[in-house]
Amino acid sequence: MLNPGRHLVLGNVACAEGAIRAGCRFFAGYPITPANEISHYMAAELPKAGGFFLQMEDEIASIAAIIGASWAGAKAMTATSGPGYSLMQENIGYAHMTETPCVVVNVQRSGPSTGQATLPSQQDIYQAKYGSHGDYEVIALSPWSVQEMFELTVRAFNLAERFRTPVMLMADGMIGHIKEKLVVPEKVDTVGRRRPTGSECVPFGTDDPSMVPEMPRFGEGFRLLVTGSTHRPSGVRDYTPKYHQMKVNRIREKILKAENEISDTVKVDLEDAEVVVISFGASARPSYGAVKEARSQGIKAGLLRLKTIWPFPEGKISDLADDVDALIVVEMNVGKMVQEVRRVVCGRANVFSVSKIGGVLPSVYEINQVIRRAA
Amino acid sequence: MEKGIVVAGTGGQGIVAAGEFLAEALFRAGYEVINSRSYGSEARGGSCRSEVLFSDSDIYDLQLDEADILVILSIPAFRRYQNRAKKDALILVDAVVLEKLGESEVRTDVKLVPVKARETAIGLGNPIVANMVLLGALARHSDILSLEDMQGVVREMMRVSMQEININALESGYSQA
Repeated sequence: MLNPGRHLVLGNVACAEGAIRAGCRFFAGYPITPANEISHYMAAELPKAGGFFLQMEDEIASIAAIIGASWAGAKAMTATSGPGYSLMQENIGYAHMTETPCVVVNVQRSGPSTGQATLPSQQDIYQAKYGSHGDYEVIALSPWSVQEMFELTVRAFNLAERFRTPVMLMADGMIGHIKEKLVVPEKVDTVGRRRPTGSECVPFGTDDPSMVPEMPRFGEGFRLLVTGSTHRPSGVRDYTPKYHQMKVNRIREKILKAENEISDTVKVDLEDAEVVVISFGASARPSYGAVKEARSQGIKAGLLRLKTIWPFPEGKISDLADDVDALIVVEMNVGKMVQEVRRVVCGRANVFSVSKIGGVLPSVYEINQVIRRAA
Repeated sequence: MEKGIVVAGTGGQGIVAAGEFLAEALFRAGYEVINSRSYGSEARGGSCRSEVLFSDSDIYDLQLDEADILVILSIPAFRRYQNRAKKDALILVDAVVLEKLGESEVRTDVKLVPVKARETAIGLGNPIVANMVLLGALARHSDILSLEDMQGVVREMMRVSMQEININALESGYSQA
């Protein structure tokens, strides 16, 4: 592990270091570019911290293994990229249905299919929200720097425990594969699992206002049935509409009603802004440069950077729509986040899209040109 | 002050390693650094590039538009990247690459320095250190890092068995006039 202090490391290494410091003690994965360095680092360092590293036969087994590890009491993580993320989707749904805290890292690359296997993208943001079947709500984070690869991995573990849910760290191949400064703190704040306190445990139901049940683990004496089938709070299968509605509504609402606690955005020059760029992850880097350049050109431009992409920060963007003339959404895909922004803005401001595929970032110049046109 | 270096060549020539080495040396010298890499899915032989951006203040850019310094190890890389060098940029190129290029293919508004990189590395016993011969020449022809800075990073970062040959490669590149 790295000593506290200043280091020059890959984004993927910062992610793995953050995971271990957040308390991750089980990692299972299958090799894929551009996420491999996370596995490499975990293989070397996790056993030294008393944890387990397993290379599985594929990504389906990898997500299954971390779900099992979580029910055995460990904080657990897997890391992959596009094709592997597709394979994981069924079991991500299983983790939602069984309310299993775990962290899934997707260092996004350019698809579909094998696509540009070594090049970055932000094409999987809808897959993070809608990739598995059925109704559920997801928490997904988007780091824009090596430092945030560390910090948001820590946060992903904390949110997973706090809400007893899988959390997606939606990194991209650009941030995963750059080396830049990481300052490792002396200590990180971690959230522990809410464990049963009495002699009885209701593993899938609660009266607690958080709507997050206590979570037992296998082998400590509670009668425990974990199933992806619709179940009663006790865990016993029950297909009746009442129990399905109770379950699905609760696993959605526990996240939706905490949107303000989960949602994290960074505002740059928004006070008097007339044109606002909305971006996330690596795309937010040239967006920042383009906004600063626009300011130097006398344009009242600002940036809203999303560190959490799901739940979508509807309230913040809706408020912006009333105050500004134009919103510009910058992303490395064919234009996905912009659809969410258009839905929320609902015609109250002009919405422009700067979307780029091909494994390359939109440039500062390209974004600045759109800001100038929108101003 | 923000400057950019592109190291480019073919997969297997130590392109990513050279970029990482430069980035580490600049980071230790106190600069803010961004080091990115781009390569194909081939283990050997594809186009490969490493970029190093460095500055005395925070860097928000992730991609380099125009380079202040190019370090080139292959013919395709020279053809592909010489036009990404600024006017008056320093281009360090393996002499065997330059020999095979026509006069009309080479820009005249840059400082072009041929370095006997591969030949020297083979003489030292391993062609893999051609990248370090070029970085030794970089220490001589630019003021961003000294030979001592680079030698220090070799001693601290590389495994003992590889230190001597890498230090010799740096010195050979530095001493080529």
